[in-house]
Amino acid sequence: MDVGLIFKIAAVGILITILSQVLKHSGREEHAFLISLAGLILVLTWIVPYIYDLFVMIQNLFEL
Amino acid sequence: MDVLRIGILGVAGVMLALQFKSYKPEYGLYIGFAVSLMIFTLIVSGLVSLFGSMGIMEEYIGSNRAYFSILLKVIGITYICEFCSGICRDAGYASVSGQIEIFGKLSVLAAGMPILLAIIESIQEIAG
Repeated sequence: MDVGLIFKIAAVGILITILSQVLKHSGREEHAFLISLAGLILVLTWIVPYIYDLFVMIQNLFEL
Repeated sequence: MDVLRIGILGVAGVMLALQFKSYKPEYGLYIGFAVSLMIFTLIVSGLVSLFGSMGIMEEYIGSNRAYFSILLKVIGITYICEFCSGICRDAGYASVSGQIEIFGKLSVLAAGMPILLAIIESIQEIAG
């Protein structure tokens, strides 16, 4: 959980945006969609562990 | 807690997320989600010491542990519901965030019900 997570997501976002623009202009619409889906999954795999840790911490702290 | 660090983290994250408003709004949402997750984790880890001292204070008062744990539970419920409904509101789905808030209020009411019953019983003993 460091600030690098934000910059990683931003980097993936910029990369995906450029790739999808390139793919869109070269006529491959579905590839552009697949690329953005891959970006989504990649970002989710980074974020989900932190969400899990956070909610486990909350459950322990608040005795839910 | 270092307020300055959290403030700068939040503002920097929001500015970074704004870059994606035009091309890919969902990545702006992910960055906003990551920033709020980070700040929320800092809050929760800061709360651990707060609740420790509250526990010690509660022992002096001597009231049984149940009320204090209900208080903790209520705070936890409001925290989580506020966090999730804020994320949904950012994403633009105000109806979903409204549902989450309503569920949060109801679960707080349900969690606080024993205290209400205890108060009514004590009133009953005095007045009845």
